[in-house]
Amino acid sequence: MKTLLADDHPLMREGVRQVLSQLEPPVEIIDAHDYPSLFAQTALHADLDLALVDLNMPGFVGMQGITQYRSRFPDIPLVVLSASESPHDIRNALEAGALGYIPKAASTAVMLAALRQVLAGDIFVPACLGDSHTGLHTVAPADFEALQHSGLTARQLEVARLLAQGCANKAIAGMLAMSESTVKVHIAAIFRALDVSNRTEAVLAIQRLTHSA
Amino acid sequence: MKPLRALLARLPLSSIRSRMLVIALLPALLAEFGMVAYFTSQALATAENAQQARAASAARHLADTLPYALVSGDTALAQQLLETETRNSQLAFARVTDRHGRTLVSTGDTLRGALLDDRHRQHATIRLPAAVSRDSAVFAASTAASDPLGQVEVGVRLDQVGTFKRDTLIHAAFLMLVALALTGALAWRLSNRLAGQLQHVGRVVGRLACDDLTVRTQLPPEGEVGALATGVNNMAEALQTHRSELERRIREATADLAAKKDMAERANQAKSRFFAAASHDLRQPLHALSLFVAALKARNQQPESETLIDNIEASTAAMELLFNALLDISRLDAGTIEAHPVHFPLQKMLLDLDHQFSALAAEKQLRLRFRPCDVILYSDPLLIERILANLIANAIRYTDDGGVLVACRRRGRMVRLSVIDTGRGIPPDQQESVFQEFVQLHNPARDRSKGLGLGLAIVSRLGRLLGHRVDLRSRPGHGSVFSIDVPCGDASLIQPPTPASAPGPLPADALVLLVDDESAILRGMAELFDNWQIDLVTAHSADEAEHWLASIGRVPDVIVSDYRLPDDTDGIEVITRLRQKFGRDIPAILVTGDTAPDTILRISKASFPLLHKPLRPAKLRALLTHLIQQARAATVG
Repeated sequence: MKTLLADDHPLMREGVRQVLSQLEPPVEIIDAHDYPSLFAQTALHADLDLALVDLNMPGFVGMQGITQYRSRFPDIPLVVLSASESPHDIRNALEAGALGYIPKAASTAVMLAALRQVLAGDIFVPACLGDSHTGLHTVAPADFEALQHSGLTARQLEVARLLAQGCANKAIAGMLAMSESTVKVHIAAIFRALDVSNRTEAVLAIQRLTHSA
Repeated sequence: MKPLRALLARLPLSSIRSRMLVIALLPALLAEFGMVAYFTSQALATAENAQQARAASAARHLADTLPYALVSGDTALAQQLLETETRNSQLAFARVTDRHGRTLVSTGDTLRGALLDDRHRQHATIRLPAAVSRDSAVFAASTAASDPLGQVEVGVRLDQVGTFKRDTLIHAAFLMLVALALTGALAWRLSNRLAGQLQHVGRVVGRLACDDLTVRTQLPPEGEVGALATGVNNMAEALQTHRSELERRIREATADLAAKKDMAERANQAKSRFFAAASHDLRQPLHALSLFVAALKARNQQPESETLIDNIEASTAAMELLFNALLDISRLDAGTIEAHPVHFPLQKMLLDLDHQFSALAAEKQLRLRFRPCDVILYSDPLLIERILANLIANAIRYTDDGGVLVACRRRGRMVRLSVIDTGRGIPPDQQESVFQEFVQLHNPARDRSKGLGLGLAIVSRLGRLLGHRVDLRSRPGHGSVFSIDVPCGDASLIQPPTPASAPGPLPADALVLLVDDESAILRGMAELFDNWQIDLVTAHSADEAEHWLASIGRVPDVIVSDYRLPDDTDGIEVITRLRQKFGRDIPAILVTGDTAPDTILRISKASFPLLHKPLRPAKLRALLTHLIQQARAATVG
């Protein structure tokens, strides 16, 4: 796995290097010390898995550097590393296209968790931002079997259950804290997975599925 | 004396004018009255005497002229004489009586005359003159030389006296009034002048009393009033000088103080700024240090080194704590921390605090409880959480057994948040100083595990910044209650939390279409997108894709398609077809497991972003985020 590490403090780079070395699979780390060298190194090395970037480096002010990098290299996941913990900065960084924000004061454990999360395709938001629900939904053991057999994802199963109980889309949306359009998408996927073409059939199929489990 | 006093008491004697009038008029009145009375009575007496004298002389004259008439018995002559005399001397009556008292002749009203008293009557005895009697031998025998022949009686006219009296009195009264009037007028003028002068001085003094020290009296310096006026002027002069002196001194002192305050503030600000600037550079090595220590710890194979490494870890942790606390205080002092009040519910924060501190409490075997608080607050949630965290940490640190309770209570429009512990308590004489920096009670050895004594200093500053009252009630041996009063919030004004899909990069209603002929891959992707909470439609082919998209009536934001597809089609065709169908240049990503160079070449000619299988989630996410953001920005812009 190739990671690019950009920070203008050599000691900081060394410290983070120690953390990265605990990731699996083993990481090849490429250094940069400011924005120009960050861009240069990224251009040199194809196929980076991750770019860990300090916000306050010479070359750009504020979020400019992040925005530029994301425009030039849109397929490289960028995680911001910063001394600032202000919600303002965190929000701005994420809106500029960062997939994660790690405060420098974070412990090694938190850093590792964050990096792993981002590598899994998730977005890492530090706890100090407040309400953010990212992460896996736990699946009750009883549903596990149903999951296996149905080809539904966990979320889809939740929707399916409520659908089988006769809830309207709006109600399902409210109960699962998702938008109505998302519910519709899930229902479409459910129809597809169960090979049905209307709600009634779907209800029957679901009932069969959950009772057989 | 008493009636006079009573009279005087009733007179309006409060003003100078009236007093002076009384002083002038009363003696004048008395004097003039006295004099007039005296001289009038004198005149009257004189008049009376004169009249009496005239009556007497008339009587005598008659007595002198009547003997002949009497002796000759010429009553007519006697009558004539009487009348002449009565006329000349203006008598009321005249009567002649003979030796025996019989009336011989009379004039006037003798009856009325009888009523007159003796004062107004005169008698005279008619006798023969001595020469005649001597010479006359004839009479010598019948009469003695001095035997009376008779008596004449005359009476004065009273009406004259009366008229005279009346006239005299009228003149006297008139004179008196004129004199009094003149006296009164003079007294009035003089008193006016004096009263006027005193009023003027009074006004000037009044203005002085009203803080106007520039007025002066305008009277000539003569006399007692003049002396008073001059005295008042001198006094005003002295007051004015004194006051300008005072004002000057106050101005100087204020300017001096302002300059000192300014200097102190600037010094403080400079210190804070220096600290803030330095801290950025100071922090990096500190952060790096803790990462190194963690790495060392993880890597350490030797048990002997374990304690050493633990100590290093503890030291760095303590250093970081100190540093952060100092930096916070410095920022609070420099005013760089701002409060952003919003309406928010308290309950969630209490849950978070519970998670944060339950382990710490459990370590010391203390009970940490949070009473359910279903209140809405209006304040800065980050700062409130900081305050509560500091208070709870403190409470746990200084309690050895028992527990810590966090509770809230409504008090009018405020909510009182309290952190109650069963610790050692704080004596009253130290309850103020605990909020100062570095003050720690019960820590004479400066045991660093007990923190630094900055927690409460930060709480007190934050309380001040937010404008919330921080209170402490404590008794040694009975624990302490720290509380803060926070204003109630309005539930209807709570801003909805950021939507469940991740904040930042993607809009909540983003939709991705994934086309791949392998169901397993579609299934795996569905799981992934489940976690990402991004809407996903999966399909094996373009036809399926169109069908399902139509069923939910939406257009995808990004199309992700496998390059290699069955039935002689490929990802590029699928994308093109769907773009045509929906009439717009939907962003697309191609996925391929191919490594053959010419495939790659062909794909790159189509200028779609390319991802290689096995798909790395982070890269897909990164690319999706970018494309969707770009597309949305384009439609908006």
